[in-house]
Formats: sequence, structure tokens, C-alpha cells
Amino acid sequence: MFAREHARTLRRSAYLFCGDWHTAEDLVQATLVKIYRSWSRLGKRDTVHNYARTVLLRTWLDEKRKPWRRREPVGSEVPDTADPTIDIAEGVSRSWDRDVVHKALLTLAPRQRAVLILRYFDELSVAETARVMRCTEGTVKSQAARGLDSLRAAVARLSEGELTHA
Amino acid sequence: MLETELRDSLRTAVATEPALTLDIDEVVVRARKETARSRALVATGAATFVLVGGIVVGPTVARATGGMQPAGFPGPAPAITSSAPIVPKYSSAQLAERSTALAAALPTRVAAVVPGVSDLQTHPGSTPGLRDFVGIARFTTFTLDGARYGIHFTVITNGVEDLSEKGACVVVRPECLPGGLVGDASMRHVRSVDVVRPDSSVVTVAWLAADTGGPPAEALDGYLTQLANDPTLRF
Repeated sequence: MFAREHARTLRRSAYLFCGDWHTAEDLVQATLVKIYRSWSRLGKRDTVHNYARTVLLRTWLDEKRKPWRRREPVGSEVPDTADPTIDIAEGVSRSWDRDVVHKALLTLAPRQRAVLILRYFDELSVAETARVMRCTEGTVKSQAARGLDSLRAAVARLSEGELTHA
Repeated sequence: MLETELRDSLRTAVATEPALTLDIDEVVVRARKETARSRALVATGAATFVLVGGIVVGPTVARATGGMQPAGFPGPAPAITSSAPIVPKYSSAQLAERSTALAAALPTRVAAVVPGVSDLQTHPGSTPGLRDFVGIARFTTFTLDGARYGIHFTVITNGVEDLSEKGACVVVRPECLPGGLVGDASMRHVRSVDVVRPDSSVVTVAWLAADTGGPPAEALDGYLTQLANDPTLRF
């Protein structure tokens, strides 16, 4: 079944979009419901995954327009108690290295963020990305170039300790 | 930042993902219910559109003929914009045959259910051909206590997908056209009942009247529900 096969993959993309696993799961659920409703009108199965990406992207962009969802949290998990066996300094450093790019990504404009995720995480071609985003290939190329520039700048800012968040 | 570096970083960002708490079965059940609900709503919405269209067109004809003329719901399917093409599951001959059978059964059943009616006439309704819905409709007019009334009967054969919803949906919608009609208030009041049948068809039966007089609402709902559940009135 499509939902079982693709729920995890979609949730990863959704997490990269929004930066929160719980919201990501909500987005995937909404996406799967929408896909189910239009299933009979979908064509070949190999195009369904890209259609799912389109639905996910639009669902996320729609959600972002809702006032109560405009602020995106950077971290989703807060530990209840400290674990004495963990070297906090080392853990923080590792976690920081791991998250800094994603944190920087979350500061980008939504559509720039989406282009980078579709191109470099989902490994879609320029043409496929354009289809998913319902825009031209030229827009994908320019958004990707600008997105990479903005991402570099954001990583540099975050590494310098400027913890601002859009 | 190199593109490969970005790829690696994104992979790493999702490497420690928590377990999926999404219950796919629940999502599917929810999706089915939403689909069924929206299809039933579209179906009943189509029927309502047909009625309103008939009310606007009907009295014009009535004025021209000098009396209360039953709304004929003439013409083809209502012009509701829909990008999805209609996928007919029945030939026009089959639809005509079923429509004729419904027309033959309707006056008898209306007379049996609504006491005291006379001068029954049945006219073609308008098939609400929306998206991939298939249905038939008939309009019966009659006299009751000296006043003229109408009952519009619509069956949409594939109104719902989810059979777990069967028989669960009985909706009463009293409506009144705001402001009535210019120079003619005939058939201004509409009261309808929708029933989802066990065979997944959706039936909408609407009572049309010139004013709020006539049988009380409880009696009307009883008549309409009885007709909507009448097994002889079917697609």
C-alpha cells in the first residue's frame, strides 16, 4: 500500500520543511488523506510519489499561512531529566554540527527551502522539481542558486553565534 | 557550501528520526469517511442546485401559463463547474429506462405516503451529472387541501463509497429563497431529506411549497423520509 511504503519518506521531507517531527507527522497525515481522496484520478504509480511531494509541499505552505503555525520551532524534543552518562559538551557539539545546516535551512524563504530539499534530499532533477513545485525549470535553477547562497550566509551567521530565526 | 555537503547534512538531520506514531489504518479510515462525507455532500449539493435552478425557472413558466406550473427542471445537467469529466456508467437508454420506472412508481408512492393528495402529475427532473456521479430525478406535483405542492425525487446511484456509513445519514434541510421571486412567490419554500441507502446510493427528496402553510414540519419530514427509504423508488 502506498501510504505504508511512503509515510516515512514523506515525513522526513516534511521534517526538513518544517523542523518539527510532530508537525511533520500532521502534514503527512493530511497529505495521505488528500492523496486517498484523489487516488482514482491519479495515473501511473511511479508518478504518485512526486504527486505526493506536491501535495505535501502545498499542505505545508498552506499550514504556514495559518497564523498559529507561522512560528516554527527549531527543536522538537525536550528531555525530562538529565542523563549523567552523557558528556554534555561533546553531545552539544555533535548535535550542533548535525543540526546547523538544517537550522540554517529553516531560516530560508519557504520556496527556496523547498527547492533545496527537493533537489538535494529527494534527489529530484530540475525538471521533476519544477513539476512538483508547479513552476518553470528556470525558477527552480534560480531559486536553488539563491537558496544555496542564502544557506551559506545563514550557516556562517549561525556558526558565529547569531541565533536568529525567521 | 558544496552541494554534496548539503546532501550529507540533510541526511544527517533526519538520521535520528523518532519512531513513526502515525497509524496508517486510522488514516485510511479517516480518509474513507471524509471521502464518503464529501461525496454525499456534493451529491446533495447537486440536488439542491437542481431545485434552486428549477425554482428560478419554474415560476416564469407558471406565470406564462397563468397558473402554478410545476418546476420542470428542464435541460441538461446543471452548469456547475467541474474540471473532472463525467464518467457515465450507464448508457442513456438505461438511464431513460430507470427514469421511466421511477416516474411510473412515484405518483402511487406519493399518494400512499401523503394522505389526501389528488391530481398528481409527474414531470422530468434534472439528472445531477456531476463529476462521476450518476443519477436520475423526477418531479411530482399534486394538490393537497386546495393548494399545489411539489416533491422532487433524486437518486444518485454512486453517492457514497464507504458502506459503513449506510443508512446513517438523514438530513433535513429547511430552506427558503431569500426575498422570494420577483412578482411570484410560488415554490419559495423547500424542505428536503437526504438518505444514504445500504446500496451506497444517496436519495434526496424535497418538498416544495408556495408558503409555509400545509402539513406541519414533523409530518413533512415523515413523508419525505418514508419516500427516501421506499425500496420501490430506486435507481
